[in-house]
Amino acid sequence: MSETTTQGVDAELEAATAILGEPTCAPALAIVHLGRAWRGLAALAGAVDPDEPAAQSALVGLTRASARRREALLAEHAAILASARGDAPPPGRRILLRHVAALRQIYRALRTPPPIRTRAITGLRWAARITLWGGLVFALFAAIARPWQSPGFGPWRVVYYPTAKLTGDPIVRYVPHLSFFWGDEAPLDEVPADDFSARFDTCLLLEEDLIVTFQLTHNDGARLYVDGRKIIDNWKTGRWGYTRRIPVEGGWHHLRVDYFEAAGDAEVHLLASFDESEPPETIATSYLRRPVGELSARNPCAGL
Amino acid sequence: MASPPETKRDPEPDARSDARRATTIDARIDALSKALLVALAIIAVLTFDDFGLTWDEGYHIRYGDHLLDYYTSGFEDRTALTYRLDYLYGGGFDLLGAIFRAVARPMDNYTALHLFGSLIGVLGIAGAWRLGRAIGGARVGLYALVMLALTHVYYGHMFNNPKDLPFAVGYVWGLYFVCEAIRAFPRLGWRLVAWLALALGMAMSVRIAGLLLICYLVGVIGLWALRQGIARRSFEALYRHASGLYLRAGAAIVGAWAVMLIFWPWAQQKPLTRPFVALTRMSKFLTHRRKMPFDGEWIDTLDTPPDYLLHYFGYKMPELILALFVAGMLGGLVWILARGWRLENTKRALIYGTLGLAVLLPPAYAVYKESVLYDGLRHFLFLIPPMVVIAALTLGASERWLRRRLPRAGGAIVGVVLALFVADHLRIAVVYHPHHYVWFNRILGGLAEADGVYSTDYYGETFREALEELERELRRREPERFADTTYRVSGCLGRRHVIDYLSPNFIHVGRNSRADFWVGYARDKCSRRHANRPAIVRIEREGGFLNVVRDLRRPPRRGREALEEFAELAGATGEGPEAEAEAATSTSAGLAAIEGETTSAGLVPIESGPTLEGESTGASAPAEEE
Repeated sequence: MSETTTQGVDAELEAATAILGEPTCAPALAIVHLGRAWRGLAALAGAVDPDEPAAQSALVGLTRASARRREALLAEHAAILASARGDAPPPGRRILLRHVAALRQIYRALRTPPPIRTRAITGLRWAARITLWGGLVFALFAAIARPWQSPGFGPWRVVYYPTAKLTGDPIVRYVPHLSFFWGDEAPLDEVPADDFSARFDTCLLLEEDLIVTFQLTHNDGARLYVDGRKIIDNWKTGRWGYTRRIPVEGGWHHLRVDYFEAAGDAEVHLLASFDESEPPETIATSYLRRPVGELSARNPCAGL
Repeated sequence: MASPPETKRDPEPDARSDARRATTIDARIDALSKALLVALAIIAVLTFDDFGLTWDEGYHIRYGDHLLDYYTSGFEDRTALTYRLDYLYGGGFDLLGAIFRAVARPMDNYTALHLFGSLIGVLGIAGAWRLGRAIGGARVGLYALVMLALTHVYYGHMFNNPKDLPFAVGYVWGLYFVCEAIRAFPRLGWRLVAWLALALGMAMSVRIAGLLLICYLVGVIGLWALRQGIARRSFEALYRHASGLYLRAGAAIVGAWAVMLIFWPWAQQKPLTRPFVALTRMSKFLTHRRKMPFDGEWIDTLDTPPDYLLHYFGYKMPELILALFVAGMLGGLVWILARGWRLENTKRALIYGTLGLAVLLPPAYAVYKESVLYDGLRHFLFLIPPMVVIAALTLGASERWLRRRLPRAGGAIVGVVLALFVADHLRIAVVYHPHHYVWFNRILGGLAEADGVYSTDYYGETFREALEELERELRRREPERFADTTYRVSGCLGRRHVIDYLSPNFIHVGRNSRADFWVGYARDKCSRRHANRPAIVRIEREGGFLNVVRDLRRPPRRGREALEEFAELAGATGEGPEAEAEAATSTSAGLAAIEGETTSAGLVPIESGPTLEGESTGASAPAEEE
C-alpha cells in the first residue's frame, strides 16, 4: 500500500470503519488499519517520524476536540499501538469507532485548504454571524413578547363590553383599522361571541376643508359620530350599510363608532374617502392619532 | 499545538490539489445552494400574501384550533377527536400552524397560515437539496433545489395547501434520512436514529401514508442483511446485521410513532390500532363523488382510469425534469440489474431502489386499490420532490459523462441547458403568479389546451384575483354607485372569499339567490352558468381560461355574441350551448342615507348619491342572512 497517499488514508479509514461496523468481525482487526491511517496522516502532514510525540500532538491538534479529549485521543492511540504490539488487550469497538471519527477530522483538516482570513473577511463573517444569531434571538423574543398584540398598537381605541348595551367591565385595545369580521367568533376571550358591544374612538387630522364620504357597514347595529354629532344611526339587528357625505373642516376631529352584536355573524367596517372622485377605503393610519384622556372624556382629541 | 508539523515533502501533490479543488468547489456550490434557499425564503415571505384561499384551508384552521384546545384545556376539549373526517389525519401541520397563527396574531388566520405554509414549502425544497446532495454530491443537490423551486405545481401549492404539501415535505425529509441510514449501514448512530424518528414521525403526523417510509426502512435493512448473509454464506452474518440494524431502526420507529401521536389525539386513544384504522379508511375514501374532466371526457371520480396519474404527471411536470426523470428511472433500473448485485454497490443500489420505489409504489398501489382520484395530482404531490431528485441525479450523471467525452465543452453544455430551463420557467412563474399550480407543460400544449380537458383550478385559487379585479373594475366604471351600493355576489366561491377579498359593500349570496354578479371558475362547469350575461372580468393565463365574473344586472345577450362567448368558454370539450339563461334581476340595493342635522362643527349633511337602477334611496338594505 502507498501509505502516504490521500487514497491510502481514505482506504485505511474505510477499511477500519467497515470492520468496526461489521457485526461478524472482531474489532481488533481494525487496529492494523488505524495504525496505517495514523502513519499516512503524519506523512501527509509532512512529519518525518509519525511516532514522535510532537507530530502526534500536532495531528491531534487538527481536530476540533477539547484539550481533555485530545489527551484522551493520544492515550487511545498509545493503547492501539500497544495492542498492535501485543502488549495490551485491544480497545473496545466504541473506542475504536471514536478514534476513526477523530482520524477523519484530521484527514479532512489536511485535505481542506486553510481558509483565506483577511481582516475584512473575518469582520464580514463575524458581522454575518452576529446578524444571524441576533436576528434569531430577536425573533424568539418577539414571538414570546408579541409586541404587536399588546394593547398599545394602532390609532383606534377599542373598548369592548361584555354586554350589548355598552355596559360592564371595559376591555381596552388599540387597533390600526376599524374593519372587523368576527363571524360567529368572539373578538376577545373575555368577551362573548354574541351580546357584546364595542366603542371605537380615534382622532382624524385633515390638512384642509374637504368633503368626506363615510361608509359604515355593520352587523348588527352601529352609530357613527363625528365631533359628537350623530352622522349614521342604525342601532338595530341585521346587516346594514350606510354612506354619508359631509363637509369637514381642516384640523382635528373626533370619530366615534358605537357597535353592538346580538346574535349570528358579527362585523363592522368604517371606510372613508377624502377625494370625491374616489370610493371609500379603509382610513389610512397616517390620517389618524390615538385619542388621549379618560374613556369617559367627551372629546378625547381635545388635547391634540 | 494548533499547526501541523513543518512540511518536509509532498508525496502526492496532484492528488492533493485535485482533492482540495474539489472540496473548495463543493463548498462554493453549497454556499450558492444555501444562498438560493435564503433567497427563496425571502421571495416566499414577500409574496405569500398574493395567494388566494383554497377549499381545504378553513377546515384545517378549525382542526388546528381544536387540537390546540385539546392541549390547552388539559385534554378536556375533545372536539378534535370527532371533527369532520379530519380526525383521521394527524395534525402535524395543523397544530404547528395553530401555534404559529397564535404567535402571528393579529395577522388574519388565513394570511398567517399562508406564511407558515410557504416556509414549510421552502423547507421541502431544502429537503430535496439535502437528498440530492447526499446521493449525488453538491452539484446534484443544487440541481434538485433549482428544479423543485421551478416545478410550478409544487411551488404553487406551497402557500395554500395545508395537507398535501406538508406531507410532501415530510416525505422528502423522511426519504433523506432513510438514505442517510443506508449510507451509514451497517451501523446507525443514535443521532441518526433521533433524526429518523423526527422525520418519519412528522411525515406520519400529516398523513398516515407516511407509514410507507417505515416500510422502506424496514425493507432496506432486510435487503442489506440478506446481501451480507449471502456474500458471507453465513446465516449468522445475516442475523447479526439484521438484529443490530433492526434494534436501532426499532428505536427510530417507536420514536416516530411517539412524534406522530403528539399531533394526533384521536390516535392517542388507541395508539396501536387507530393509525391502521385511519389507513384503511383513507384507502377506501369514497366521498367527493362527482364528475371531472379527464382527457377530454367527463368521468366519475370513483371510476378513474389506470393512467389517470400518468396523464397528470406527464402534463404537469416541466419537460426537462420529466425527460431526465424517465431517463434516470430507466438508467437506474439497468444499473441495478447490471451492477447493483455486486457487494460494493449494495448501498448505492439500495438508495436508487428506495428512491425509485418511493416514486412508483404509491401510484401503483392507488391503481391496484382503484382509489378515488380527483384534483389532478394533488394527492400525489409528495412524489414530486423524489422525482425531481432523480432528475437531478440524471443531470449530474449526464454532466459527468459529457465532461469525460468533451472535457472543454461538457460542463458548458449542461450549464446552457440549465440556464435555458431556469430562464424559461422563471418567465412562466412570473406570468402565472400567483396561480403557479394551474400550469400545464408544452407536451399538452399549455394551459390553453388543458382548459375543459383536465382539471385546472380545482382549488379555487383564482377567485381572489377575479374578485379583486371585479372591485377594481366597479370602482373604475361606476365610482358614484360604488360608494352607495351593496353588491350581491354569487357563484361557486365561498363566503370567505367575499369577506376577505372585497370591500364591506359586497355580500355573498347563495347560488339560487338574486345576485348582481356570478363568479365561476373552470371546475364543475361553473363558468358556463349565466353564459348569456356579459363578462365583466375574465382571468386567463397564456390563453388558458381560469375564472370569469358575469354581470347579472345586464340583460341577457342574445344571438351570435352570446353563442360565440359560450363556445369559447366551452373550450375543447365540444359541448353544445346549454346556457342557463336565468333571468337575473338587478338587485343591487342602494345603501340608505339618513337625514343628518346641520351642525356647527363644519358638518353639513348631504344626501347620498344615486343608487343602482334608479331605485330610490331611503330604504335601508338588509343584506346577508345570519
